[in-house]
Amino acid sequence: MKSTIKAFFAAGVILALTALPGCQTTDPQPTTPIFSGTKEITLTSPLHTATLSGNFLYTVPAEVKYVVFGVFNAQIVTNGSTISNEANFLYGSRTGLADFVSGTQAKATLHDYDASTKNFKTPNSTVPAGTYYWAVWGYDQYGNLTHSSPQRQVSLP
Amino acid sequence: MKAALLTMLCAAPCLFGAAKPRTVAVLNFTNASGAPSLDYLKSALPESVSATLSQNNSIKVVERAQITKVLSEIQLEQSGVLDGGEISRAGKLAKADVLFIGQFSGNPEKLTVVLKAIDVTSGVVLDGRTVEAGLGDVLVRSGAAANSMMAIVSGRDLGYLTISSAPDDAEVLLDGALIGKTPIVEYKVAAGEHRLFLKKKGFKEQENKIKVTAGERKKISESLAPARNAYSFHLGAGYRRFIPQSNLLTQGNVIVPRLGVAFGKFTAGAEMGILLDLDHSYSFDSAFGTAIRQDRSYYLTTYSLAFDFEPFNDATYVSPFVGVFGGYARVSDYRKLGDDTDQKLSSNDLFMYGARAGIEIMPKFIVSFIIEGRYETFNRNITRSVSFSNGVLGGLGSTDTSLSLANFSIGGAVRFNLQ
Repeated sequence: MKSTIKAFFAAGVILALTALPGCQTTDPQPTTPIFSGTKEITLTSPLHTATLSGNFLYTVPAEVKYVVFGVFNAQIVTNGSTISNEANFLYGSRTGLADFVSGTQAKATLHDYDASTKNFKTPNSTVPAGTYYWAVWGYDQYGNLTHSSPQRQVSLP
Repeated sequence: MKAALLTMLCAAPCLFGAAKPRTVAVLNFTNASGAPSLDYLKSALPESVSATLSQNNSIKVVERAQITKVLSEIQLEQSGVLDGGEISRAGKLAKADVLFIGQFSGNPEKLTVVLKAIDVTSGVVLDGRTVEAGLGDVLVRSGAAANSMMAIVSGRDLGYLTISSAPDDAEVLLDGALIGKTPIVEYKVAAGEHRLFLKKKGFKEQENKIKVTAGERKKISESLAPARNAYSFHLGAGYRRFIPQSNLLTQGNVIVPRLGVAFGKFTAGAEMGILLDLDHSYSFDSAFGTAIRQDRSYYLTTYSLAFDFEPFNDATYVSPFVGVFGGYARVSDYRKLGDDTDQKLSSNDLFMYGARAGIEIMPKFIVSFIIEGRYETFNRNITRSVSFSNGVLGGLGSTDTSLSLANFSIGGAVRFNLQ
């Protein structure tokens, strides 16, 4: 009986030692801006893979004059200062659209990306539930791409 | 009719007679100094006076060798005293209308020379002068004084010249003969046309033709301009307005430091051109519903050698020039960023060359001014990168175009002419 208790205790310790570290690394996310050489835009929420419960939140420095919020259905891939996997660029919003608010983005005010104009369509989109990747990037007053955020994975309800 | 012919026949000899210049014989001078060491001046002074007078067109001067022969015959040089008979005899022997005699006294530091012109026929002293000078310039000053007496000696109508200059102490030559240094007051000259020449070391020589009428008291005042040295170095700084031929560029401001050397009609110089903001900004439609202006500018730096030709380099106030230049140029394209910094996009190394023309104002002064126009071109065009919007897909895209930097420019400079 005593040996059974010892074995049970040992198994519990082993299980704890292997399971706890695993809990801490279950949601690894990139930490570098999606466009190399740009200054960072800080993302606030959601930071880890999770189902979006409120709005996307981020912080844009004051020198950024034009902001783009993008939602992709795959990891964002860039080449220099351009997004390579344009086909995965599905939704977003930007400075200049009537319902755009810098720093916060509601799912309800996302717009479809139009590859033919390389811009967003005016009407809002209906975004189906699923796993997406989001990032924010910004331009200075001269139209130069100067800032970007790391990309984050998110589940949309 | 007969009366007219008679008048002409009578007048002709008179006219010819008046036009015939009087002949002057310069005798040996007398040494009254008591110093045998100055004896050489007895002949040296009259030789100098004779040489000076020979340049005077209003008289004729008897050759000194002939006079020496006459003097030895009548032994004038020993006595130094002339009475009426000796004057007449000497005049006839020398075939002269006027005898020019002199006497000097004093010491080498301060000699006093008395000059007299005596009419051979009447024995009357026509004019006289006293010269005080050191041994160094007694010859020149005696010659000038003797020459000043010739207006009366020549027997022609007289006028008077008062000559001043700024600065003063300029040598004055009248009809090629030195008559003294400025200021000169009431100098007697024969009526008629004369050539007046002023010269002073360090200043440009000045020559004028003047006309003096009988009895006229003419005042001449000349301002002497500094002369340009055979070689002179200069430092300068200038400004040019850059006017590009391409309408893609706006006008710009070029700052030009320069150093060089002028020799005769030519100037060689090295100069640098700095153009810090040659704007080629433009606008494009962005994805954000507004047109965005791209602030772009070229920084142009040139290092060149220039050679200029000044056909009238002895001009006092304005000297035109033409020239060519060539050298190295670096053109860098910068884009302004939102945080007030500039991003260098590209650089080009070029060879530039061109031609220029202009004027130099007050070229002989320590400070002179340049006004010029120039045409400048380059060995090739540069590639200009023009950005366009890539929508919301990322950074800007760009296309390349060929751009000529050829330009005209007009500008000015100030130059410090170092002696």
